[in-house]
Amino acid sequence: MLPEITLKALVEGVGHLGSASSDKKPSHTDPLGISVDVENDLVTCFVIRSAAEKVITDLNDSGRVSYFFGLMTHEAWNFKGQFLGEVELNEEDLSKSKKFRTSMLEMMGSMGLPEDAIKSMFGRVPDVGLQFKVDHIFKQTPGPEAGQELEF
Amino acid sequence: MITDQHFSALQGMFPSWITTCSAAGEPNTSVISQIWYVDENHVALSNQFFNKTKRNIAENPFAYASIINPSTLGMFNLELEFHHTEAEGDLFDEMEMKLEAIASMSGMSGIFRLLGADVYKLTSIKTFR
Repeated sequence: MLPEITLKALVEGVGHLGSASSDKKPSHTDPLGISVDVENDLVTCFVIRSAAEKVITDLNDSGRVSYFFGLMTHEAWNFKGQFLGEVELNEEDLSKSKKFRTSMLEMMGSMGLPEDAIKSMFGRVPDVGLQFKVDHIFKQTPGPEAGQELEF
Repeated sequence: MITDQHFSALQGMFPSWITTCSAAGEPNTSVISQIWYVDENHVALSNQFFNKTKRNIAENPFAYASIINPSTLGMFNLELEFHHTEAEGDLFDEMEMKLEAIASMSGMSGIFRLLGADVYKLTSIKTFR
């Protein structure tokens, strides 16, 4: 079961999904929301296929995932895991993505950033889910505990 | 490779993120305060406390980083290859001073500490949006 302590940042924070090719060239993409199955340690990242082509190729090839996510408070975590496959997004997933993207539009808008620019980042709708099973968790909040593994 | 259009994304207004990979093929994604311009073919990353990134680079020199233009939120993706580390000199001093300013503004003073300026060769830079 995914630890409670990670869930606020996981659900409300911003994440980056990292991968590596079989010849060990890294890449990453930015999910536009996620869904979480806490009981089964599963995370599904909602992405736009055309923007995540390299990551999808890597995941189908090597299978390993690094999902870094955090809050504005600097609280951050890194989930390492095994890619399980692509998931077709349903209405609930799209609703979660819309909620996430709306919160980002509001938050970045409150920082005085231009609306058109924010929409270029968070105005697009994801079209595929990338699901992975978490097998290691590392604390990434800056400070003496950064890098420590969280047993679960 | 780095031209005028990229400079504003290298000012540290937005954090950058970086993905590296261990010799065993395990990726690691992390966030860093800033990526510094060195010359048109090189950038520098601050080696602070992202130890896994540093360990990965020692095993496998390739990295992938993203930077954001703070005005347009346009993003550029950089393919990098580690070149060398500088632990003193003008580049190190400039990075140390800026890092302390960022730390002070974000309430992390005393936690951000520059260990070295890691210089990377830029192998490609692509406009993402």
